[in-house]
Amino acid sequence: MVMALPFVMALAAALLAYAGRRMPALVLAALTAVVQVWWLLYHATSDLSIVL
Amino acid sequence: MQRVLDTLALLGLSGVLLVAFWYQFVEGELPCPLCALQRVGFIVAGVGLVLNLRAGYAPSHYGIALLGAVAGGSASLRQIALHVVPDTGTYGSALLGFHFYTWAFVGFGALVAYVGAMLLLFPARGDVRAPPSGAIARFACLLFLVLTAANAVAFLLQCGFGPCPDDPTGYIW
Repeated sequence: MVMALPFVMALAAALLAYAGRRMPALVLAALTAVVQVWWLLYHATSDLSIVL
Repeated sequence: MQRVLDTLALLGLSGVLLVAFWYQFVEGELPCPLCALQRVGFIVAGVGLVLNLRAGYAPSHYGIALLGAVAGGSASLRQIALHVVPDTGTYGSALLGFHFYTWAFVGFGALVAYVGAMLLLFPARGDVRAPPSGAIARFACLLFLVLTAANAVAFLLQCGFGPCPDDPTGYIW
């Protein structure tokens, strides 16, 4: 799991958006959100460091 | 009017990223993995606003902003849930009584409300309209691009090509 990956993808999407490349920017931003949720599942299912 | 509001919203997102950088580099508080995912949510939402300002307005651009807000809000809600039980500790410092993951959740909620209001106030007339121009809008876009690039570099320095530690203590590069 590469934590920097969604940042690099988001940077590419932002550059495409700035250049007015609408569809590639939309697709890449949507893929970034998918990777973000994937990474969130990875971190949200780790053991909780609390004792109840 | 739409351009002014989107420019202000984009500057607000950049402000959030700037505050995060201030606490990271000036106060020395390294971001945790969930903090990183909240930043990604703000950046994805910002891409939708940059599209509005550079390629013309379209509901799909607000859709991407909404997607980023919901994804980022999920990460902040997860972090709130981690610390909601008394005596389970917190992460990072507080600002005006709330920790940053709580502020992030408030921010994502405001973003969802903003997108809903914009779609209500400015319903789409056809597909993409002519891209607006303006020095302040261009500045807002460029500032957002610089902060996005800085985040990518900062997390490469902190985590390399792997996952970030749950409780980071330094940069690996």
